[in-house]
Amino acid sequence: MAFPILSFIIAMPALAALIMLFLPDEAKTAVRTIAVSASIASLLGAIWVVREVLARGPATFHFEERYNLVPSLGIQYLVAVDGWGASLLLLTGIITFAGAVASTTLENRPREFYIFLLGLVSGVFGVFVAQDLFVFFLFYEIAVLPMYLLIGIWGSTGKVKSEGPFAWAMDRLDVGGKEYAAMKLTLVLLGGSALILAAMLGMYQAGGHTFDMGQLAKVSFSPRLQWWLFPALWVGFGALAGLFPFHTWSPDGHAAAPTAVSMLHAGVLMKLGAFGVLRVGMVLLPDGAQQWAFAVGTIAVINIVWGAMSAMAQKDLKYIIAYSSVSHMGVVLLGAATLTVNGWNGAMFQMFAHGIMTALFFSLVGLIYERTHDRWIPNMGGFAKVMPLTAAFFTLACLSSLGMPGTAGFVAEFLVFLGAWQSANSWWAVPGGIGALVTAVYVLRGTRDIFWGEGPPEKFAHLTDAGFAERVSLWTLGTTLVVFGVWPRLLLDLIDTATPVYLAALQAHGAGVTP
Amino acid sequence: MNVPMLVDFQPLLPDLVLLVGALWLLILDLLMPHGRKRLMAGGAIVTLLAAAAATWLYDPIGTVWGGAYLGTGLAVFLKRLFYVGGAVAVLGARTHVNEAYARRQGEYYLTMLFSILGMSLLTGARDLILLVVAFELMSIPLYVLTAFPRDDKRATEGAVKLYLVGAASSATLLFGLSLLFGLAHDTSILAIATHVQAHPSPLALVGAAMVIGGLGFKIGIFPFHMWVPDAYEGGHTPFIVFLSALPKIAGFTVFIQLLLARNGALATMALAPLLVLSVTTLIAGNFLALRQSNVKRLLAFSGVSHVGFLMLALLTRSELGLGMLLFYGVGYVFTNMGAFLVVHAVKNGGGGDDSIASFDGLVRRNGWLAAAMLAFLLSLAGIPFMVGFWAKLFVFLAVWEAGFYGLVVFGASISVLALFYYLRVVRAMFMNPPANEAVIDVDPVTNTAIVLCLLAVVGIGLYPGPLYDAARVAAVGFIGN
Repeated sequence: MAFPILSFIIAMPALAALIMLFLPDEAKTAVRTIAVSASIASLLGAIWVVREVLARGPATFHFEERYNLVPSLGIQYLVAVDGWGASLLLLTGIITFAGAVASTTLENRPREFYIFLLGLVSGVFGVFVAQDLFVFFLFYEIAVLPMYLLIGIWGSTGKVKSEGPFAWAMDRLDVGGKEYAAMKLTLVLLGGSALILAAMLGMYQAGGHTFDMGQLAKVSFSPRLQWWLFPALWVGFGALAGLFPFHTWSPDGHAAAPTAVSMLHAGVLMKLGAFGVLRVGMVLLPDGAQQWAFAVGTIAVINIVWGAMSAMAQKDLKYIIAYSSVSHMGVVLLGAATLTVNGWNGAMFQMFAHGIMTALFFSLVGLIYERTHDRWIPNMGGFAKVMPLTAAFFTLACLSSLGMPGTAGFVAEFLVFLGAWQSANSWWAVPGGIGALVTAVYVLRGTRDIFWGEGPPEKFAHLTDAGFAERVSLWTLGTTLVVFGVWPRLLLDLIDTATPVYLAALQAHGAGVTP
Repeated sequence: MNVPMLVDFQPLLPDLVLLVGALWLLILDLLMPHGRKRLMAGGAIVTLLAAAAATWLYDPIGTVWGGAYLGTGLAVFLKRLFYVGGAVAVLGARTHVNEAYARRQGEYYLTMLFSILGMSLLTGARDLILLVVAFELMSIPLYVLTAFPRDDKRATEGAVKLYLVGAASSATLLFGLSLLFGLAHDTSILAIATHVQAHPSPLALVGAAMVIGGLGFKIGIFPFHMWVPDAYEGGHTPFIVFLSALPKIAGFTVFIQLLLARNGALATMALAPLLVLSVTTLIAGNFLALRQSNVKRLLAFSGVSHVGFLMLALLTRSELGLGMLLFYGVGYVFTNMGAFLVVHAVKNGGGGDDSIASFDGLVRRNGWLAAAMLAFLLSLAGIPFMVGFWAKLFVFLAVWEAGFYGLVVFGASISVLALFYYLRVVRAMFMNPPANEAVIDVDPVTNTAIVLCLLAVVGIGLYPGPLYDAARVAAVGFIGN
């Protein structure tokens, strides 16, 4: 039997967490070493998988592993990887490594922090390679749940000033507090899970009592059933991808979360939602996808514009980045809704590009916050003079965010808007483009207000630049962003091994799909 | 007339073992010097385990008393649950009982054993007479046990409440049964079900409704649940560990016997009231739990909502549904017992008042207790890799297969709401600073009981296959008869 590389990637973080359970609280160095080593092991595994998938060329699935879990119910541990899964494994590997390294500066109960964090990472890896719907769901839940404690215990309570007619209610509810954010996030995401579960049971029953996604893809569900099941999956997974109007957990959650958790959550977990919409919703329910494509695309456009406008109005650094995530995830969903090769490739590429970019953003924000204990932008200014490296990387992330050619963000947005133009609803590209313009306004304004111009103010005059661990994290993410921007084929070839296969299956199910 | 031989009672062998063991302990208790009485707990556990072993050694399948008792796979499954669950409950209560009622502790376990004997007989009762007798055999010891701390005014008050409610509920149940008997002219449940199926009448519906209402009091269906939180709050926690878990499943055993006979004839007739009651129970249980500040009350209302889930399984009237009800029952018993045991340990060792605030910073005062409680709460909330997740999932699966799609969506959404109040306890344990840094000590016996519950919750959660298969097998062939 071949080496179970996928299980190895999934198991490394969980194994590290298990070892940490038996370490004493004081062994902080050991804990950090183990965490970083496990993340490196998983990252190397992911890189190897990507290389192999590229080398083996377009085929369906590689590295299949299959064990029966509950035979009488047809539940099996079934993992395998295709181009989509491999690209997201790589993304998760990179961000986990960067996050684990960036968190080495944490002093408050690092052992428990890493246990939860690595448990979560195992879940994320699992989702991207699970080919059994049930196991997919299990991994999904593992990825979502530790978030409550991670934010609730290690999060920070922001200083968002409540404004507007509902300020009193927001103060009463402790909006902006970490416990409020953790609870909101958990409830919204588990509400989504309830919908996913219902849709899953529907497919299980109608699809001949199997959870095997390969089998389910071959089943022709009645269009009427698909009309019911698809929105459940779309909203259920979409809630995690920041789907409007269920996105409001995201700014609160990301703002309150500790650095590594924001990196992972915005960088990887939101992709889990979008990946679920694509891989489970659209691939398994092709008729549903076509029936609902207009709604999906239109709401995605609202996401782009609404997220960008909301980000414009923020003065809290973390909220700007968090709302920009909502806007960028709209691009992913728009790409999915186009049902075109370019759109889907763009959606997958955007998942990768946005993941790296937002992780870079959040690690920078965490770095700034750790030194200033402030996230209020009007208090800042001229930081480039004291922390030049940070300023450089922040500017790089901004450029990718607004879709500057030469960064990964450009490739992704270009493909998605191209796909939108080729789709049945070409007008999607227009508000989408406007959203990208607004993005340019708020990210450039943010960069100027923080790093350039007057300053730095007296109390921030002695800030230090990134330390060693932080520099490792920044360089990793920054380099990735540029490499895939200049040489997009590296990733695109990988994604494109899977896209046409899925799209052909979708096309076989109905007319009106542009290739 | 044939003289009954012992072999004719083979289906009742486990019950006989339990009875003989209990009687033997009764005599032993009289002869034993006071200083040795703590050994009675061991005797009770040995008796229960011996009865459980009897279900494996001899096949307790067949009829006794001319069909009044019918040993089936279902009966065996439930018997094992009652015996093993009872043994864990005895273990969890042992230290407390030894300290609180040193001289009377033998009586405590004896009363408990007789209650379990009643439950055990219920598992096969196919005749109204036996059903009622077994039901009272289960219930009356519970009143006694609630009043066991006789110097405690609140416990006495709780016992009187429980007794009055219990008497009223028994009377309602009996009245309903007498109506059904009057219609069918037979005390056999099968005959009644057959008759009702052939001649549906409003009177039969009234009879069924009174049965549901009467039992509803016992198991805490909304709106008959009012006594539950008061009784739990007032009662001594080691006893609530028992009261909150096994009698509920016993109540459902009666439901299964009556409502599911002959392809669920009575349940089909009373489908509308059952449907309304299960939905209102789910809503009320969860919403009322939201604002509780006492952990025991919170768990009481959460128990009400779990009854709602069990009723969903009952509604399906299918073999799959029955099997999943059994699975849920096992999960519920061990999760709930574990949670109440932790509540007891925290109060006992930390001197709190059972409020959520008394759990503040538990992770720093006793990390192991906090971790165990986390597992139990997650299981109650239905989170993966805990038994509660599979239990909910399997019930939803059965409900979906039965065609109640809306109920699945409703049930899944309401279980998200439930997470809100379970997480309040998690937040107190992990995020709030402790009121004082004093370490909470747990005695090894109580700790063992918690470990056993945790093993069940996590073990089945990680590998649900065998229990799922066992529950499916136990349910085979029951509904059709």
